[in-house]
Amino acid sequence: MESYIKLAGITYAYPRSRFALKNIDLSLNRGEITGITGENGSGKTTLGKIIMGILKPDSGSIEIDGVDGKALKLCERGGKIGYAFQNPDRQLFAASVQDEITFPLEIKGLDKKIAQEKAAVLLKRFELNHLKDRVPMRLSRGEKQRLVLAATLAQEPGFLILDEPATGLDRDRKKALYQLMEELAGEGIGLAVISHDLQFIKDHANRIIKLENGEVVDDGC
Amino acid sequence: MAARIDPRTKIVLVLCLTSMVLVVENLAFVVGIGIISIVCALLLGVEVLMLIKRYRRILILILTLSIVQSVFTPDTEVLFEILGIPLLTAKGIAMGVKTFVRMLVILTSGIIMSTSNYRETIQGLIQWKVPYKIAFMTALSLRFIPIFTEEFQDSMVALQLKGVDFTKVPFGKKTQIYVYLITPIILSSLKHAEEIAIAMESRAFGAYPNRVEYLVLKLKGYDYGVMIAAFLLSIIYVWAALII
Repeated sequence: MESYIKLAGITYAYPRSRFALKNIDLSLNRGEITGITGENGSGKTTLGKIIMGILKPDSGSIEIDGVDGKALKLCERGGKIGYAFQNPDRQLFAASVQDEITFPLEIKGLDKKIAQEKAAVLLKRFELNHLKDRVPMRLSRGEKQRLVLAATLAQEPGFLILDEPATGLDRDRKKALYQLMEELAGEGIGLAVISHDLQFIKDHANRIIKLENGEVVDDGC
Repeated sequence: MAARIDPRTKIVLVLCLTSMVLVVENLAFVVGIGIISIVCALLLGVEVLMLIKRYRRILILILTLSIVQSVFTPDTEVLFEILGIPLLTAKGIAMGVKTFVRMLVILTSGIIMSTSNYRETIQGLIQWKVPYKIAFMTALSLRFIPIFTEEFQDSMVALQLKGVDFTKVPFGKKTQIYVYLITPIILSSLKHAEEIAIAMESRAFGAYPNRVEYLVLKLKGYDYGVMIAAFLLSIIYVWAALII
C-alpha cells in the first residue's frame, strides 16, 4: 500500500507536564483504515495533532505525501489531510449547513456554482440534504459529525484523521460510519481512527496501533 | 508578606498609581511613576521574567500608539520634517513617552492585581459592599477570558485546516473570514452562559438577598500601612509634580 504519512523519531512533551510522546516511528498508508487506540492520556490525540501540525514536535520528522512536514503550512496540511476533532462544534463556522461546505472553497477562489454542486453531492452522500438550510450548531451530534466529514472531504484530502468519531453515535449510526470509512478506504483515501473504544477499532480497522504512556507498544501491521 | 497582602490593598495601590500617572503632566515625574509601578510589582512578588513576558506581548502596540501620538502632536520646535511637514517635535516626543509610560503603568497595575487569586479579589469587592451579583459577574468574565482566547485560537486552527490561507485571502474576503471566526465564539459564549446559569440556579444562586461567605478577608496592620502610605505619598508626589 502507498505510504502517505511517515513519522520518524517523533518526540513531544507538553510544557509543565510529565506526559511525553517518545520516539514514534510510523508509516500511515492510503486505502487503509488504521486504528489508533490506547487508554485516556496515552497520547492518541496528541499524535493526531502532531501529524496535522497543530502541535510542533520537539524532535523527529514528518513527511506527508512525499513533502517534508516543515515545508507545509497548516492550511496546506489541511488540503492533504482532513482532521475531524473530537468535538465537532469546534469545526463549525457557517450560518447554514450548505455554507459550511461551500465557504472554504469559495474563499479559495472556486466558482460559487461549482462549490454548490460539490456541496450538493456531499450533502446527499451524508444524508444532510434535507438540513441544508439549517444552522449547523443546532444539529444533533451525529449530524454535526457527518457535516464535519462532508466539509472535510470537500477539500479532497488524501488522508483523514478521525478523533473519537463513534462517540455519541447509536448502533445504526456507528454502522453507517463504518460503511463510510470502508467506502473512503476503497476510494484510496487513508484513514486513521483515534478511539479508546477497542472493540470499534478491532471490528473495523485493518491495522491497530496501540499507544501506552506516549509510546507505541503494538503495531499490528 | 507580599503574597499575604490583601487584594483590597492592591486595589488601593493600583488606584493610586493609575490616578497619579493620569494626573501628573511633568515628564520626569511620569517616568518616575513608571519606575515606582515596576518596583511595586516586583515587591509584590511578580517575577522579572513574567513581567518581561507580559510586556513583550503588548509592547509593539504601545510603541506604535506612542509613535502615532508623537507624530500628531504639533510644536514649534521641529526635530525632523519631510517636505516641510513636521514629523517629530520635542513636545511630540514628550507626549509619546508619556503615553508609553501611562499605558505601561496600566498594564503593570493589571499584573499587580493578577498576583491575587481572582476569587479573593472578588471577595474583597464584596466586603467593600459591591453587590455580590455584580462581583460574581466580574469574576466570571475574568474566568472566561483565557477560555475564549483558547477557543479563538482553536477556531483559527480549524479554519486553516479547512485549507484557508489567511495570508492569501483577498482583502474583500478578509471581513467575511472574521465573521466566520467570530460566529462560533459568540454561539459558544451563549452556550456557556446558558450552562452556567443552569448550574448556578441549581445551586440556588440569588435565592436569598444576603449571603454568608466561607472565605472572609481580614485587613492586617501592614495592609493599612501600605494603603495609608500609598495614599499620602501619591498626594505628595502629585503636589510636588504640580509645583515644579
